[in-house]
Amino acid sequence: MSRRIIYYAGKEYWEPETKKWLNANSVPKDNTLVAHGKTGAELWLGLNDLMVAAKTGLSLSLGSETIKTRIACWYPVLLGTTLGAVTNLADITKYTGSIVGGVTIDESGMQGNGTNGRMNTNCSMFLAKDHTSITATSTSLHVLSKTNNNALMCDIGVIDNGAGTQYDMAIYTRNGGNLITRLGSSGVNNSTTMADSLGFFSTSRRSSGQYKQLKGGSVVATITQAANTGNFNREFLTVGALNNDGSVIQFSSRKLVHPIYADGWTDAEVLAVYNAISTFETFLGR
Amino acid sequence: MKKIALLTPQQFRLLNNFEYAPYKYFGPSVAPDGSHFISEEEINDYEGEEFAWIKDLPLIEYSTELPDTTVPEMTGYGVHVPDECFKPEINLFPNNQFELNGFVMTFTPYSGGMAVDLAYFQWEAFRQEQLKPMASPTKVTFTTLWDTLYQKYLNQEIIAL
Repeated sequence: MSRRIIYYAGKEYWEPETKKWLNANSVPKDNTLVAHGKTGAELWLGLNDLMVAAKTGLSLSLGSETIKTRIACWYPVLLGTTLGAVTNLADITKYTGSIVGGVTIDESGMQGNGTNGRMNTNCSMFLAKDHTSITATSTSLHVLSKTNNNALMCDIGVIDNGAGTQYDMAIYTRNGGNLITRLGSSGVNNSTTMADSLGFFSTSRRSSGQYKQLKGGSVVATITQAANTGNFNREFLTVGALNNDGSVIQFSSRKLVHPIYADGWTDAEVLAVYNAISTFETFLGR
Repeated sequence: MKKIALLTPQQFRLLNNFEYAPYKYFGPSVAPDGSHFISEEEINDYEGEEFAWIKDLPLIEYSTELPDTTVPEMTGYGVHVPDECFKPEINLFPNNQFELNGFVMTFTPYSGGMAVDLAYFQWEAFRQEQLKPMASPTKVTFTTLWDTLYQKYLNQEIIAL
């Protein structure tokens, strides 16, 4: 792995998001803490590599807090702690998650009990639109599932009917043998045959007329479906369940990491971030 | 099988959205039958004193699998149901039906009043649903009547419908 410690005028430099996230989680830049089998110093390097690769893939400049212009929330779920699960890597000042109900958190990820456990992101499209590029026709969801099963479990999602016209966003990594997504429609599930529920699943909309389903950075299907434009979800996006207009249902028992809510990504951008996360996960050994 | 602990509505209100540890909230939920519960994981995770009573709540198994609610074929024979159950001022069984978590039992009118077909007594899934711990409020009302009717069946107090 390349080590991207950037030096400005001979001074060690870290991407600010990396620095803030690790400081917020009290990860020292030495070997006094070991998590994921890595020292604190190694975690600094690994997370910084991830951030540099993600920013590069999303064509964002390095050296300043640019990731938050395109990503509202990104939870890498690290350290095996509650704080490490709820801290938003895109912007630690916003959308700190809330663990609700039965959720097990360890170094391998967070896993709801399938009964009432989930993470509330405290983030809605209505809030995110004000400080990101997210719009009703430019939005994406992503999540990395580490559990293989086939059941009606929503891994990340929200439905909002409060503004009059419903706007749905959701990923079910596998149910009935299909990857099921919703993105901008009203109550319509889009299903594509899926062999397992393991890996990095994405759904990304960059136009009013269609959106894409992706797995592992590769396009699985292009869905021709108009977005309900002009509406912004006020309900909070939920990880590990579906927030159905205020009533949380379809709880997932899959182990999840890297849930991301962002603006619409191109195929190449999804692939680049997938590769960055994949490299990081390999580094962590999980 | 997942395990949960049933809550009273008051306990539900006490726990709902309570932050019991930094960034961790109780998530008391409502089961399909309308009962309130929290999960075994939350109970085990809680280390405080204010709600230490949750550690004493009995755990029961919880499944989201749907039982077979297909109504059995009617026999044409039944037992009489006390007339007071159908007095308009009581209206114990609107539309002459009893519903429990997707199970629907329809009383049969006959010349002597209302009856329950014997087929319902053979409906094992319906009986099991009545006996679930989450159906305890039902026990107080319907199941007591049901047991009385079942006893009539055992006593051969059977009528043609």
